[in-house]
Amino acid sequence: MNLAQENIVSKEDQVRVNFSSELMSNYFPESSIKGSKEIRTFMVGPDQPLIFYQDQDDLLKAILRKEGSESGWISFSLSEGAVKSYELEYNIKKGRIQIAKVESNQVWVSQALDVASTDFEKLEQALSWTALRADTFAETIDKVSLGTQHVLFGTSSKSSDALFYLADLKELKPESYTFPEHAKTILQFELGTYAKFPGVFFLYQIGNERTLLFQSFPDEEYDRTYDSRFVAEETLNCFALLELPSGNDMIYAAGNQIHQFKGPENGEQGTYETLPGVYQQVHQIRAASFEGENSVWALDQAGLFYQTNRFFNQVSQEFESGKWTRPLLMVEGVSQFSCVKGKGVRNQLYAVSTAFGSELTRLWQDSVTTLWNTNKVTLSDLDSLKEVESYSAQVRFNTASKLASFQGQKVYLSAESNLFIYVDSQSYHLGPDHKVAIPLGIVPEFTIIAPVEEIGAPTIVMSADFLENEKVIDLSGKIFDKLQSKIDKEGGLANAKKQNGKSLIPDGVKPETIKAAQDGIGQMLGIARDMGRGKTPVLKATSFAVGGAGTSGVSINSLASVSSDFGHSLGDFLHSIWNKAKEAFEFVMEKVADGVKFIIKIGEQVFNWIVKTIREIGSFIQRVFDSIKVFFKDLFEFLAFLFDWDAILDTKRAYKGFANNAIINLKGEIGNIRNFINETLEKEIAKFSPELVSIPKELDQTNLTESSKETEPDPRSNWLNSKKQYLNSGKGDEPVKKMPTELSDVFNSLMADLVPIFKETGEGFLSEFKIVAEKFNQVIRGQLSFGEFLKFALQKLAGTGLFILKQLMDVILRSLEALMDVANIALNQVWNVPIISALYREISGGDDLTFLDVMCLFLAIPSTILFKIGENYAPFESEEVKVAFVERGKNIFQLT
Amino acid sequence: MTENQNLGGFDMVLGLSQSTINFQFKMLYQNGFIKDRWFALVGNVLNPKEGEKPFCFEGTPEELKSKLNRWISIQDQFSAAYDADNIDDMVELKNIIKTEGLNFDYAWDVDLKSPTVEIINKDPRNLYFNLSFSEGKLYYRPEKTSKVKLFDLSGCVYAFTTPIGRIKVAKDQMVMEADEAMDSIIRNSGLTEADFRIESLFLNFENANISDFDIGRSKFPEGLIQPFQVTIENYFKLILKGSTNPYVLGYGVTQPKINSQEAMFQPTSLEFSTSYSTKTDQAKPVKGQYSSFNFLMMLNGDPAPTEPTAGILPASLIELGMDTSSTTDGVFAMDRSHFDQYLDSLDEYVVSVFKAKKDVKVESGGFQVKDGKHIMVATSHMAGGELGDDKIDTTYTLERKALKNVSGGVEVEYEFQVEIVVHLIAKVFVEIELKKIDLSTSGQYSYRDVKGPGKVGSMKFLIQNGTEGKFNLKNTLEPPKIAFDESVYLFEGGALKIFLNIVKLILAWPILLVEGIINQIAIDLSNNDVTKENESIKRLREVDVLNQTNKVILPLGKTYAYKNLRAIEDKSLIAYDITYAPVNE
Repeated sequence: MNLAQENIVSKEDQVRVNFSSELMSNYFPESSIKGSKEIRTFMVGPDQPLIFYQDQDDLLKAILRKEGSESGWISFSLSEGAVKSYELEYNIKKGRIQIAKVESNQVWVSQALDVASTDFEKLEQALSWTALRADTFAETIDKVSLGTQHVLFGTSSKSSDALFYLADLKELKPESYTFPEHAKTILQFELGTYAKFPGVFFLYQIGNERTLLFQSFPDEEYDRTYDSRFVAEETLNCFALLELPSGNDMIYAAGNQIHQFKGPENGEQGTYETLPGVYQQVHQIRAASFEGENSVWALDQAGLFYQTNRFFNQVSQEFESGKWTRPLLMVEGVSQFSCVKGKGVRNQLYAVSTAFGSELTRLWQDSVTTLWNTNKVTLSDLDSLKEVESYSAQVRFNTASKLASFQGQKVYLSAESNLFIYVDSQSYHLGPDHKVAIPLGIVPEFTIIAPVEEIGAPTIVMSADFLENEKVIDLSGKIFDKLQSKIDKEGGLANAKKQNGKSLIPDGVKPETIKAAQDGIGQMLGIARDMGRGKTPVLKATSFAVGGAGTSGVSINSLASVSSDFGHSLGDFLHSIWNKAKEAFEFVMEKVADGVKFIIKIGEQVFNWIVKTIREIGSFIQRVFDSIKVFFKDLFEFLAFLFDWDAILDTKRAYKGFANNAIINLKGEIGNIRNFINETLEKEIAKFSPELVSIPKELDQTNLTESSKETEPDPRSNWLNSKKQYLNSGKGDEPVKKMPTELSDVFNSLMADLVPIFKETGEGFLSEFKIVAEKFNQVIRGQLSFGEFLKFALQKLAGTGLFILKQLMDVILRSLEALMDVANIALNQVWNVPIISALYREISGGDDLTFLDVMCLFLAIPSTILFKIGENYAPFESEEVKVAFVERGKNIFQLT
Repeated sequence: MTENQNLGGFDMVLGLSQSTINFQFKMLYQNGFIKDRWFALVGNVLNPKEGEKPFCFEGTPEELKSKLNRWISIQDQFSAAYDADNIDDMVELKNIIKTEGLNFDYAWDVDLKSPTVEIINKDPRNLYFNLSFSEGKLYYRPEKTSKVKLFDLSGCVYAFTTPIGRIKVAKDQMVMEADEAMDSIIRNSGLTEADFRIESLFLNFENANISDFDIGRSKFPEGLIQPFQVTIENYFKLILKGSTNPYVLGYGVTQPKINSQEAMFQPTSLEFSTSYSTKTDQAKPVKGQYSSFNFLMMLNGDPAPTEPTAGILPASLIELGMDTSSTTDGVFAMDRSHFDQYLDSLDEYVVSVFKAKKDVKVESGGFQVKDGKHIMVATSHMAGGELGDDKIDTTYTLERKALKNVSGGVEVEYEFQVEIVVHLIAKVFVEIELKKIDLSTSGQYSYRDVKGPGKVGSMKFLIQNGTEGKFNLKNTLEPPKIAFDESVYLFEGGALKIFLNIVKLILAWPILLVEGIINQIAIDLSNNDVTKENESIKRLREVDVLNQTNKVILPLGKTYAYKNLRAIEDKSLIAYDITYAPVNE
C-alpha cells in the first residue's frame, strides 16, 4: 500500500517516544551447537563471522552470522562423511576464500570464492569440490593445509617416513616431498612465509623429540629449499602463525610456555622471545592481530588463556604496545576454540567448554569498555526453546496527528558500547560504530531484547528522521532504581528477600561485609544514575572494603605498589583475575575529570581504571554482589519480573470459553447481520456512505488482539506479542497453509466464488478486492476485528456499484456461515505454531495448542499482566467472575 | 690412524652444494643483509696530492643525488674552461670544488644482484665470486681536468677469484690469514657452529674479494675495464679500511650467536676446499648442484694433513647423496674408523649390563677380537646353596656383527650365545663328577619346561639420525633359547634321578639370569614389551646410562639437519644427507 507523501510521519508531528525496560526471562526458538571439533572462523564482512566446525560425527558444518535473522545465524552442511581435517585460506590480495578438507582418504579442494561477490547465505550451493589423492594406497592422508597458491597434505604410513604433498591450486597435481629429518608423524603444518620465502611450517615427531621447521618451496633458480628450525628449551606441542605487515609470518609455538619467533627482516636477525607465564601443556594455540595488537589464545589442561601485547599501563591509564601481559584464564575446561577480531569487538572467541555445557559459545570483548561477554551460538530451531535472561524494552511511538503513518519509517539504533540484541526476535549487533535500521510497521512499536549475564547493560541510542533529537534507552536504569528502592524498603541488603521469599544473601556472609557492600553499591548506583542523566557524579564516601579486609587500607598513595607488570585492561581483569581472587578486596572511588576512577586492591595488588560508561559501573556492581555471594542468578530472582503462569492460563481459559460461546452464537446471528447489511445498502442506495453506517458496538469489540492505542508501553505486557511474527515468519509457507485446513478450505471456496464477480468487474475491482482479501486474512490471523473489517470492506467496495456489492456481500456472508460451521472444529484443533506451541506446552504442563488458544493467549498475557499491575490481583482469580465472563460470550454477537 | 683419501686426508668432511650456497646468499640478499645498492661518491683516490686523504661522501640518497649532479656540472664547466684555457674560470671553479667538497674521482649509483660463487674445475683451492649489477651507472673522472664519464653497468659482472684454500678460522671473525699461530687459537678456543653458518662463509668470501680480478669471467662494455677495475678495487680498499663499515657486500651480515653443544665428534680444526662435479639432476638440472664446497675437519686436536693433496677429494661428496632432492643440501661424511668410537660406546653399555649382574665375570673386561670376530665372553659359576655339591658354569658369548645398512639407518647386531654346563657332583672325600650335562643355544633337545631347539639370541640396534645431531636408537631383542645338547632320555638311570632333582634349579638360575639381562637391556632402551620396572631401574633411567638420544653425536646439529645415516664400506666412510637448516633459538 503506497502512502501519499503527506501522510508520512515527520518531525512536525511531535512524535512522542515511550519506552520501558524490564529484567525478565525470554524464550527463543533456538538450539545450540554441541560438542563440535576444530572450529575455524572467517570474517565475511567486518562483523559477519562464518564459523566452520566439525560436529559430533565429524561432519563439516558452517554457520554464518546474519544480522536481523532469527537466531542471528544460518547454517550449512559441507560434507557427506566424516572429515579428518580441514582448512580455510583467505587470499587478502584477491579477496578470495577457499576451503580444503580430508574426507574418505582424499583431499577435497573447493574453488576460490570471491568474498565480495559470493552470496554466503547460499554457501552450500556455491561450493564445488575437486579431489586429490596420495601416490600410494598404503599412505593415510592425515591433514590438509591451504595457502593462497598451494594446497598441502601430509601422509603417514607404517613402514616409512612421513611425506608431504604440495599442489599448485591452479593445476591441482600433487607432488611428494621429503623432510630433512626422519619425520614419522606430522603433528601440524601450516603454509606461510618466512624470510620472504613462501613455504610450509611443520611440527613433526622424530624419535622422542619434535622439530618445528620451516621449509620453503624449492627456489626456481637453484632448486633448493630454505630451511630453518625453531627451538625452545622444551618440547613444543603446537604453533600458530601471524602474518606481519612485511608478509612474513611470526611464529607462536607452545609447550608449557609460549615462544615467539620472528624471522630475519630488513637486515635484522630473527628474534626469539618467551612470553611471560607458564602453562600446563598447551595443545592448541591461535594468534590474531588487529590494528597492530597481537593476541595469543592458548588452550591447556586448565582451559583457555589469553595474552596480548597491548599492555594496559595502570599508572598512565593507557595501553602500551609491544609488552606482553601475563596469561589470563578466560574459560575453564575448553576443548576447542577459534578466535577472530572485528570492528567494535576487540576480541571474539568461539569456544566449546564444559563450563558452557560443551556448547559452542561466543566470548567477545567490547572494544569500548573492554568487558567480556558470553553468549551461546544458536541456530534457529523451531523445535527447540531456549530461555534467555534479558533486559526487554518495549519502544512505542505516538503522534497526535491521526493521519501520519509510521509504516516503512526507520528507527536507527546504536549503543554506547557493543552488544548483541534481538529486535522483534531478530538478532542484531549494536555499538558505537554499529547502527542498525529497524523498519516500523503499521503499529509503531518494537521490542528490544538484550540478553545479559550480569546486571550491567549498555545504553542504546535511538534516532529517526521523524525524531527531533536522539533518544537514549537506558536498559538497566529502572532496575538500578528498583535495586536501590528495594534495598531501602526492606531495611538494607541484609534483610532483602528474593521473590520466592528466600534471603538474597546466603548465610555466612559477615554483617559488616554486607554493610560495606551496601554502601559501595549505593555509591555506584548513584554514579550510574548521575551518568544516566548526563550529570557529573557526586561522591559521598570514597572507599569501602568487602570481604573482611580493613576498611581504610587503600589510599591513593598505595598506587606506588600498582601491579604494573600485569597490564590487564578492566575487562580482562574483571573477567579473569577477579573471578579467581579469593582474597579480600577493597575499593576506592575517586572523581576525575573524565569519569570516575575505581581503584581495587586484591591482596597486595592494586589495580585502577577510569570508568566512563554505565555498563562498566554495572559490571562493578555485579562484582561487589559476587563478593557477598550474590550472583546474577540471585539478583535475577530478586529483581526480575517473573511471570505468574497460572494466572495467565486462567485468563486464557476464560477467553477461550468466551470465544467458543461467541462463535456458536455468531452462527445464529449471521442471518441478522445479512439483513442488516441489505437494509443498510438499500436504504442508502443513492447516498451511500459507510461512515454513516452504524455497526453494532458489540461487533466492533470482538478484537482479538491488543490494540496499539496510546498507553504506557510495558515490555511485560508485550512479552508474547513480540513473538507474534513467528506466526508469519514463513519458512516459505503461505499463511493459508499455516491455518487449520478447515479454515483455509472456506477461504479457498470464497475465493473461487469471487472469481466470476471479478471477471464481471475487471482489473480495477480485482486490485481493490485484493486489498480487502488481505484485510480478511488479517481477521483470520487475529490481527483485525471482524467489525473493523466489515467497515473497511464496505468503504473500499462502495464505489463499485451496489449490485455487485450486494452480490459480493452475499458471497462473503455465505462464506462466513460456512466458516462458523467449521469454526468450532477448526479453532479447537491442535495447531503447530513455531515457538508458541512449544512454549505453550511448557507453561501449560503439556497441553496442546489450538488456533483459539493462540489468539486467547495473545490477549491473556498482556491483559493479565496489566490487570495485575493495576489491581494487584489476576482478572479471573474469582471463579464467579470467570463463569460470568464466559457466559457473556453467548450474546456478544447479537445485533438486536 | 691411517688417513682416508676419500676425505682428502681429513677426519670429517661436510660438503655443501654450490647451488645451496648461492641460494643462501640470495636469502641474505633478499632480507637486506647484503647491500643491494652502491650509491657513493669517492674522492682523493686517483693520483692524490700529498696530504689529500681519500674520502667517501655520505648522506641521504637525495643529498647524494644533488651532490652527484653538482659534481658533474662543475666538472663539465671545469673541463670546458680547461679546454678553452680560461684561467679565471678555472680558478673560480677550483674554488667551488674546494669549498663544496666536489673533488670526486668516481661515483657509484648502481643496483646489485645477489652475489654468486662458482666452484672451479680442477682447482679445489679457489672459487669464483661474482658480483653482478642489475642496473645503474659508474661516474668516472679520469683526470682532474676531464669531464665526468658515464658507464652504464646494467648487466655487468665483476668476477674475481677467491683463494679459499688459504682461509682459516679464527674465533671472532674470519680473516684471511695464513698465520701459523691461528691453528693453535682455533684448537684452544674451539670451533663453534657459527663458523659453519652461511654468514661466516659469506664474510669469509667477502673478505677475500679484493684479490684477483678475473677479466675473462667478468662482463662489461668496451672501455670500461680500466675504470671498472680501478674503482672497484679502490672502493673495496677504501671501505674496508673504515672500521664502522667493514664490509662492502656484507653490510649487516654478522656471525650469528649460537649456543653450541659439544658433540661426540667435535671438530677441532677447520679448513676449506672445493670439489667440482659435472653431474646434474636429469629432471631439474641446476649448474653446480653436485659441486661441493668442503668444510674439512679434524678431530681430537689432531693436526690437519699438510701434503700437497691434502683436502683434495677424489670426487664431490654430494655424488654420494641418497636423497638429492631439493630438500637436501649436501653430504656429511666421516672416516669409518672414527665411527667406531660410537659403536664402542654401545659395546661398553652391553658390557656394563653383564658386569652389573652378580656372579658374572667379563673376560678381559670387555670386547676383544678373537679369530677375527669382535666378541665379548662372560662367564658365571654357580655353586653351593640349594645346588649342594653340584655346580653350574655358564658362558655367554656376544658377537658384534658388521654394520648393516637398513631402511632408515644402520643396524648393529649382537649375536648372543649361551652355553651352560651342569656338573653333577658326588662328594665322597673328593669331588667326583658323576655327569656333565650341557645346555646351549645350539642344543636340540627338550625336557619338561626346557623346550628345544635352542636358538642364538640377537640384539639389534637401529641407529637413526635424530634431532640436532643426536642419534635415536631403536632396538629389537630376540632372547636366546636354551636347550639340551643331548637327549635327557639317554641318561643312565642314576644320573637321571639326580638330574631330575636339580632340573628346577637349572631353569631357575641360569635361564633367569639370561632373561634378566635381556630385560635390563629392554628397559634401558625403553622397550615397551617389558612391564617389570623396579626402583633401581627407574634410577638407572634417570642416570641415562644408555639414553643416547640426549647425547649429541654429530657436530653442527644446530646448523644442519641430518638423515639417512649409512656406511659406505668400500670407501671406508660413514655418510649422511644434510640440509642446511639453522636453528633459531
